[in-house]
Amino acid sequence: MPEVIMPKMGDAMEEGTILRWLKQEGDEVEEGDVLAEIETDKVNLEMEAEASGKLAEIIAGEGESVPVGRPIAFIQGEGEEVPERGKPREAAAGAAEEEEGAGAPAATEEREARPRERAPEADGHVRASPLVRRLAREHDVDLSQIEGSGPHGRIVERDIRAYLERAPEEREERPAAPAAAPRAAELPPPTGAPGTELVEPSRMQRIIGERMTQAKQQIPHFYATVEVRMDELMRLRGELNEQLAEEGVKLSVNDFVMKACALALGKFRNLNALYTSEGIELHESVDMAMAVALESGLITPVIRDCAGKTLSKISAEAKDLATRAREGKLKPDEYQGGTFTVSNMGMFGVEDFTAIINPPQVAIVAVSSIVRRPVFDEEGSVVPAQLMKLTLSADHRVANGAEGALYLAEVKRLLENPVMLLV
Amino acid sequence: MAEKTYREALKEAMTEEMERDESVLLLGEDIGVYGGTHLITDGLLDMFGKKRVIDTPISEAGFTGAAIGMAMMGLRPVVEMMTWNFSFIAADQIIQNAAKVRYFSGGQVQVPLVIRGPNGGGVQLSAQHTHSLESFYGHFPGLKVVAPVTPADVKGMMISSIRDPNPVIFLEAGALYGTRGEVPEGEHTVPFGKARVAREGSDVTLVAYGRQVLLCERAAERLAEDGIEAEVIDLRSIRPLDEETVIESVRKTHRAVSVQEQWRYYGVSSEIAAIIQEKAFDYLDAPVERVSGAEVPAPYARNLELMCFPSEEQVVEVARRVLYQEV
Repeated sequence: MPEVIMPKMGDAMEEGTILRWLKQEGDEVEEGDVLAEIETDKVNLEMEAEASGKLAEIIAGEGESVPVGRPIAFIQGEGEEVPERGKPREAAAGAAEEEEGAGAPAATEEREARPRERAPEADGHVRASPLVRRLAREHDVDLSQIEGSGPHGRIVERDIRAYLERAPEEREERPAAPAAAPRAAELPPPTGAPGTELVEPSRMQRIIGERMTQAKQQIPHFYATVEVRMDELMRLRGELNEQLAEEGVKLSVNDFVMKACALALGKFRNLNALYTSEGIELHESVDMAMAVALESGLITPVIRDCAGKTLSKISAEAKDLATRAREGKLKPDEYQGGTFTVSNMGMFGVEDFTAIINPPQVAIVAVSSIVRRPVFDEEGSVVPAQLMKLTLSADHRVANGAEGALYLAEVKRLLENPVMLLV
Repeated sequence: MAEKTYREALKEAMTEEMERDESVLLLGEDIGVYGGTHLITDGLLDMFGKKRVIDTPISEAGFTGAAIGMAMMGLRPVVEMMTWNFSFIAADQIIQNAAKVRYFSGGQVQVPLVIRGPNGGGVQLSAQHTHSLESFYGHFPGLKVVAPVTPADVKGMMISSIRDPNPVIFLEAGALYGTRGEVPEGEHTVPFGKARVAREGSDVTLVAYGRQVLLCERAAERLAEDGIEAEVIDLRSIRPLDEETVIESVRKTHRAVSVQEQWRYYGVSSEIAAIIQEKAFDYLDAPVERVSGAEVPAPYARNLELMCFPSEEQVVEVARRVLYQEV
């Protein structure tokens, strides 16, 4: 009897909420059918059946939150029986193993394989020493990610230490609890004055808050701003969009900016890097994270190998990712693993702003609005121009000011000679 | 500081206290004329006379009861059990009277009594003469129980015991009377309820008392050869028990092995394991393990006796097990 368990869709995911069941008890389902919609702290996902059969029982109803690894339904294969309702999975798994031990012939291949494979984390239980559990709490580590080297797969101190050492991203993403706790204690209590309302920050906002606090506190940021003349780019963009209109392509300014930022990184490899426990990890491929504002927060979907993609490809991907981000339908691998970020607030009429580095990345570019201003041309005459400010925030542990300035100059050169972005 | 034997340290403590305080006197079988079966009191009869060094009949219940009476009346008797095995005969006096008179009298009557003698085995004395009685006596409120292992601690704890207003069960490591160590001259006291860190280490805590402390120190040497730094805690005082030193150590090392000569069940090591899991649960990386004597009456034959007591190899092996380095 294959159980449908709450899947783990990202390192930080501890539980998911059933938004909606798309199949009802008694429905026949095929492997790959969408069973339900699930909400995690970051996205909404469609969950597919991993086996065919009858959806014999739904354990977790709509709106229910279920820890990762817990069963939410049973799919009954041919000739299989539904376990008693409410029977804990562990007991069921144990019983299956006992049957095997007694040499019961009824066991199908699946039955033989599954309980053993998943036994350690059946019902979400992981064998770990108390010390490991404490360290996991302090470092916000998901123990199901760690393989235990102790007896019966028990996770022991050396396992979690090794994990913490080799997963710097994991550690830098979320600050350790002790660091966060005293801060909360220092905050003033609510005034409770009339006309006030106390709102609990959402889970996403809390995570963003923690990460940004950590980034601001731990990364020595430096900033550099350039003003880019956008007239030529706007002219070229108009031309291209006219030509491409039939194909339904409409390039945005941000597509050009991302392409330029990615191309320029070819000469400044330091900035396309992750700051890890063991050193600066330089990345060849520019996996461009783009900040997308959501009603409930912010997410940064990633365009892989942004430097190697054409503008129209970047444009199509960006549009698709942004749309699905707003619908909460991104998969974890679509918003994890970026190496550089562009944050664009041009659409909001912002004259300039600075962004906080998204660790373990080491740089981010803040893109402001294009404004029309009078400027002097080469002859000294006052002419109208379209200008846009770019502000680089970079990690001083990795790069220095001059390098940042040279990088921005290269981005500016590419944007002011936009045909360079077409080759 | 001069180097002295365990035996000399013991005698020195009693001698100094007898010189300091006239109410201190000794009772026991063969302690006077013969000088003591283990020669602990040799020469003291000549020094202090037969009113203060009293040879008793072979009657543990009788002379222990007499000593309790003396203590209740203000003397400070130090009773020698030829071995602690004989104290079973006096157990009614010790448990029912010595431990309880102070409570019964609402604190009006104190029992400043020390009962001392060799405890445990290791010298081929077979089943009836090999008991380790620390958990037996450690069970009763009203008694203090100590089991020092170094000559310095023997002296310091004997002085503390004689000066204490309560009955003290003084368990000597009978197999170690001839071992030597530095002993401070003159006034030297060791408090009750304070363990000693016999060796500092960071990887695993070995908890023991009495003779097993030396075993743990040797095991720690062996472990050190493989880069494992074991911390050895000498409890010294069984009741009151220094929980803090043990917990502090385990919080540092995350692993503990508790070693005792007595049988495994209901022993001091079980108590240590229980306290560690209560107070350092979140610091443990492995279950607390016990190394204990075999569950049989102690055999006489040397080879069997060796098999029945904890060995250096066992301690090393179990230490490796809690470090998940099984060989």
